[in-house]
Amino acid sequence: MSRRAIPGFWRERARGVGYVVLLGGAVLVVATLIATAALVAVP
Amino acid sequence: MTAILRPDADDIKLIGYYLGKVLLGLGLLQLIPLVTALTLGEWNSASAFAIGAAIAIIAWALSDGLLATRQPLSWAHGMVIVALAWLLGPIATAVPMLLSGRFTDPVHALFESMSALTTTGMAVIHDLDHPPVSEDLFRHLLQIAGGLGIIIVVLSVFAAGGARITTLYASEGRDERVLPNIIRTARFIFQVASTLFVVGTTALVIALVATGFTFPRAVYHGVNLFFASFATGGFSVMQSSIIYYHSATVELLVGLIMVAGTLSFGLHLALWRGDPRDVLRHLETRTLTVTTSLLFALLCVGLVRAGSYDTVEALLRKGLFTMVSAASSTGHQVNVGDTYLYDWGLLAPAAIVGAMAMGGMASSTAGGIKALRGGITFKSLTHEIRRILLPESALVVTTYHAGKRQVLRDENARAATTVLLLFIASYLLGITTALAYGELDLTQAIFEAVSVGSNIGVSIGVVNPGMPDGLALVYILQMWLGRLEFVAAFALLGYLFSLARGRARA
Repeated sequence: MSRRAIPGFWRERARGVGYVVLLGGAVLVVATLIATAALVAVP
Repeated sequence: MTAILRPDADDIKLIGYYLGKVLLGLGLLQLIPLVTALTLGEWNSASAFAIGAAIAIIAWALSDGLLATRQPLSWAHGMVIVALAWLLGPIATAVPMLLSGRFTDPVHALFESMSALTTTGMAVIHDLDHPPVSEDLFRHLLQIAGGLGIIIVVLSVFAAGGARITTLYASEGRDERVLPNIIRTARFIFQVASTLFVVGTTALVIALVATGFTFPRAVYHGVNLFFASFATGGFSVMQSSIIYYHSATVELLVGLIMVAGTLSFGLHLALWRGDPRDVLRHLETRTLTVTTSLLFALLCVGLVRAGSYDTVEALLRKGLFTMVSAASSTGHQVNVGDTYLYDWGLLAPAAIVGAMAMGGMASSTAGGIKALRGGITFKSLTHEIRRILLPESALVVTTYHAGKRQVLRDENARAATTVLLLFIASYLLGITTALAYGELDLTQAIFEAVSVGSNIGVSIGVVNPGMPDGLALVYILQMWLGRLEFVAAFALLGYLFSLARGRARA
C-alpha cells in the first residue's frame, strides 16, 4: 500500500507546514510592533 | 584513589570500526557532486571528488575488514567516536576542496569543510560567485548532512539498530528522544526535512522566477538556499549572501525556513502529530521569545539611534532578518560585514552578539549556548532566590516544560551552567587570538569569535580568504568545540589521557 494512500498522510504534513507558517507570521507581527515602537520612542 | 583503566586494543578497534562507517557515509555523499561534475563536464572537480570519495571509501573498507566487531558501545566509546568523527569528517571532506584549487592552503580548506559540516557557514573560498556547480552543491550537501547529524544519517542507514545507536545519538548532543526508537526518530527528522524541502524549495523557486531568474537557475539557487537555511548553516550561493536577490519575498521565505530549522524536532513532532500548544509551553520557546524580543528591541533602538534605518520595512528586512539569522544560528546576511562595524553603531551589533551567543533550540540544527541551557540557568537562578527568601524548612521545587513537565535538578542546572561557561571560555579564546594579531579592534574580535564559537556564521569581515592560518586554526577549534557542545571533546581528552597514563586491565 502506497504511503500516500495512508489516511492522514497529507493532513499531517499540511498541519506541520501550516503551523510553521503560523509561527513565522507571529514572529513578524511581534517584530513589526517592536520596530514601530522603537521608531516612535527613540528621538 | 580510583585507578583509570587504559583502553585496550578492542576499544580502539570499536572506535575505528564506527569511524569507518562515518567516512563511508561522507565518501558516498561525494558521489553526488561527482556525478554532477561528470554530467556537466567539470573535469577538475570530478577528479577532486573521485579522489576524495575513493580515500574515504578505502578507509572504510580497511576499517570494516580489519576492525569489524560486535562489541557493545559504552558511553565513553560513543563520546570518543562522536568527537573524532567531527574531526575526521571535516578532514575527509576537505580533501576534494583542497584539490579543487579554490583555497589558499590546506588550513583554509579544512576551515571551509569544518564550517560546512558544523553548519557555521563562514566561507573562505576564493571567488564564491563563480564556482563549478558540483563544488557549490557539495558545500551545501555538507551543511544538510552536518545539520541533520553525521551520526544519525550514517547509522540510521547502515547500523543494525538497538542500543549502539542510542549511545551515539545522545553523544551527538541531542538529548531529547523524539520517538521511542532512534531509527524512527531519524526517519521522522527525514520526513520533516523532506516535506519542508518540497514546500520551501517550490516557494523559493516561484519567488526567484518572479524576480527574473531563469527556471534552471531558480531551481539551483532554491535548492541550495533551502539546504543552507533549514540546516541553519548559512552558506550562500553568491558572495553577497541573501542581499544578492534584492527580494523581500525571498528574505521572508528564507526567514521562515530558518525559523523551521531552529525548532527542535520534538516541537516539530508536536506540530505534526501532537498538541501544538506544547510549542507555547516549552521552556525553549519561552526563553527564545523573551530573549529575542528584548534583543530585537535593543537592536531597533540601536539602529534608529545610529541613524541606520528609519522605516519599519528597513528595520524588518535588515534588522529582523539578521536577528533571526543570528538567533537560529544560520548566518545568512542582508548586509556586507563592514556594515556592522561602520554603520550600525555599537548597540545594534551588541544585540546581534547576544542573539548569537544564545543561539537556537537544543535537538535542532541550531548552534549557540542553546535556549534550553539559558532557560535552565535562569530557572536555577530563580530557584536559588526562592530558596533564600523562603523559610529554611520549606521544600522548594522548580519545574519547567521540555517535552513533558520536568523537575529542575541540581545536576541539570550544573550541567547547563558549566556548558554556558565553557562557551564563554571559547569566545574568550577566539577574542584574544584575534586581538593578538594586532590588526582588529574589539568589536570585530568579539563579533567574529562569538559567531564562530556558536556556529552562527554572521561575519563582520574578519573571516576571509586572506585570514591568518593561526586564527583559522583557533576558529576551527572553536567550531569543533561548539558543535560538540564540549562534553564529547573533554571525553576524548580524558580517553587520550587514560591511553597515556591508565592502568592496564588485569
